Amino acid sequence: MRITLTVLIALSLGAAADTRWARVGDPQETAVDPSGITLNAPKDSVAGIVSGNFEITGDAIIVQAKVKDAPLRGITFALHDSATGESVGYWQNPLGIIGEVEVDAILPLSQKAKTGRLFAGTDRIASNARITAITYRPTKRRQAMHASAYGALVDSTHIAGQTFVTSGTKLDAIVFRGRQLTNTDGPDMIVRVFKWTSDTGKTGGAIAQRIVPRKQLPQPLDGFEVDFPLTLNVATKKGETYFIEWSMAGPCSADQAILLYAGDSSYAGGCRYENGNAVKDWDMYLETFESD
Amino acid sequence: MKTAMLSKTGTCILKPSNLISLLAGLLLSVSASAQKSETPYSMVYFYLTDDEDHARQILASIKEMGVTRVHALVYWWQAETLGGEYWKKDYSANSIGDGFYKSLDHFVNISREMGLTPSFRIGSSREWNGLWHPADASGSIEPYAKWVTSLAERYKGKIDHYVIGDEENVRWSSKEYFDTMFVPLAKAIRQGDPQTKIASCGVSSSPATAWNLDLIKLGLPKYGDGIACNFWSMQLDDLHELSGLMKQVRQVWPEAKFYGNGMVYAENRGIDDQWQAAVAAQSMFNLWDIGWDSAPYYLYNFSIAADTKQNYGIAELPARDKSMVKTAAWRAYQAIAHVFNDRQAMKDSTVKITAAPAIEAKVEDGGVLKLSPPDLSIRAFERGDELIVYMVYRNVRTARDGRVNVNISSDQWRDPELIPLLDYTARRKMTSVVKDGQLLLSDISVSLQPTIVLLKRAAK
Repeated sequence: MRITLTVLIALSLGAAADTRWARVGDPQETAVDPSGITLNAPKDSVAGIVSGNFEITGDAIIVQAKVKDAPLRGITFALHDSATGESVGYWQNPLGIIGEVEVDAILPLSQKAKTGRLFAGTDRIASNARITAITYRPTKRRQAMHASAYGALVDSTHIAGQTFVTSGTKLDAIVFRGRQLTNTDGPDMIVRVFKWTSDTGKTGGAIAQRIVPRKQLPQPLDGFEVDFPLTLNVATKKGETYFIEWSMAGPCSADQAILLYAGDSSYAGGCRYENGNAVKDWDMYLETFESD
Repeated sequence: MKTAMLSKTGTCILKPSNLISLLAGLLLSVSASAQKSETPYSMVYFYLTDDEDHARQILASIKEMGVTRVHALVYWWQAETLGGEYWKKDYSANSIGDGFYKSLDHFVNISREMGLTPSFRIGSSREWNGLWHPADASGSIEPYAKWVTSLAERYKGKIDHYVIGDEENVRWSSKEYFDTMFVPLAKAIRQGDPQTKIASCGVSSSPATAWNLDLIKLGLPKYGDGIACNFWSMQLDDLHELSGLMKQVRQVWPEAKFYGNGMVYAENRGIDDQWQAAVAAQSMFNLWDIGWDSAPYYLYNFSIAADTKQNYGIAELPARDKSMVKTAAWRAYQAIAHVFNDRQAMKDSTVKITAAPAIEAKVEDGGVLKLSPPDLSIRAFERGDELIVYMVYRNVRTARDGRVNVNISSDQWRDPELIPLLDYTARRKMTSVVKDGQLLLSDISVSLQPTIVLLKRAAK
């Protein structure tokens, strides 16, 4: 099930989904047009729109949208349990957004909910952001490799990687943790997915590829790294091994590197790689989200 | 039975109503004092001075923060020059030789006098390009070991533990470190002070689980008492690796102690840096909570780190004519250390505590959204007639705040008071309602800074 906000009227996308959106908060603080919404919310105000009820078949929700000109935390996506009205999933933009960017967000559920409503707007942060093309769909949390150190560089001479075994038939998204190193003028980063075999390593061409715009990763002055969600939507075979690869989209000096989290091995089903070589006893920080 | 209360200055004032309660209070006090030495609250101490008054002033300010341990770096080359003049460029004469020992004596004796537990990190050959001493070109560890024995003898019975070197895992395999540095120096320390505890080097960056486990396989327990790690604050909110490390070490070495040379490294961006305060509070609470034995906070005073060019300090040191400047992080550390200070006496509470969003927003279709980040971590501890509730958003990378209604599923607890993180001696009464055997607290602020609520057991 995939639900898209294109117009704010009822759409027939499936029996389980009620695709009507409704305004939340003071109507003056959310301007609605056929493409999306524009916020005009002061500090401490909750304003935006909320979807109709939909069935939650997993334990997380993937949200994608186009967002324009949002201050830090000026966009909130929150999943609400239809039964209680309480938020059970929550995401805010970790960096300010200038211009229009495509945003991926993953909202793990803090507790089970059968049906939910997705809120898109601002939660008490003054915001004039514009949000369009909202899509959302349930997914399932699968592998969680939690590492807690700066471990892997990505630049012209460093390609990072991690193998993992799928649990579903579609790799919906991944989350990795990282930041820019020192010089922020470098190229964007590419994330690719490959099939992996023990004999040949990467097998065939990439089955999925996404560009990670450098400006969406924190700069040194931002002070800390972010957990970066990236949707992939690629078909996989359950129980087989795949390889996630992080590389640069162009020439990249050492000071322009992206610094990704990695650390002590926390996952038995795969391991970290650097330039194609296994890094013993290490895993990348990586979470996978899959569909059955 | 109420036998003690906290004054505004944090001093424990006994208010015995009879002799029995006085004795009980004294027993409680003695017990708490003994348990305090088991808390992890330590401070890296870079402030050795031969000025006794100044040493006393600095240590008193650290004591005031609730710290129970202090960890100093001790160098052979500072104690003995071996005729070398390498020190003249950067060091004054009173910090070398006898002046160094005088400073070290002040550190050890005054900290102990104040009830602080001193520990030492002993220097490495990393500082002098592989030499143990800049004026000893032999590279042999034997003269260094001899001096280490003399150091241990000098402070016999006064030093809680020694950490042998720092981040040696960056340059050496476990075996290289074990054979080259650890065993000779551990033996040297034991010879001088058989009862003190000994730890391997504070490992760099990651828990370095495999490196530490290899050390244990090589025979670390035969010569030492524990391992040491250096943790960044970013490693302390997601405790996956730390908990995994402790579990794996205890599986093969149940008595192992867990020490460190430097922890947290939360950058200061001003006196009122609320993020640094959140990180300091969460880091120290987590280290207390997982049972880490000694976690020396890095760093006490404002200074720019040589490598990262960042200021990790939480205070500006007091001087003769200047009182100290305390940051929000200093106060946050103080609150955690004073509230969560007796690990053995505080038991995990079995009371069910839940939080629900307090902010409601109307939906135009007639519904209501109740909004607050749902990933709030709640811990509760019972200590005698007190229930202490700790609520926080743990991922310090992601700014989070919310307002929640808290439901305590028990009719045993009453009189909730907020312990402000930045003013722990204050108590702010909170309104509450008892309903159907449950205590309800409304509209509580929660964020990356821990919200701490103190409740009292209801009279029967």
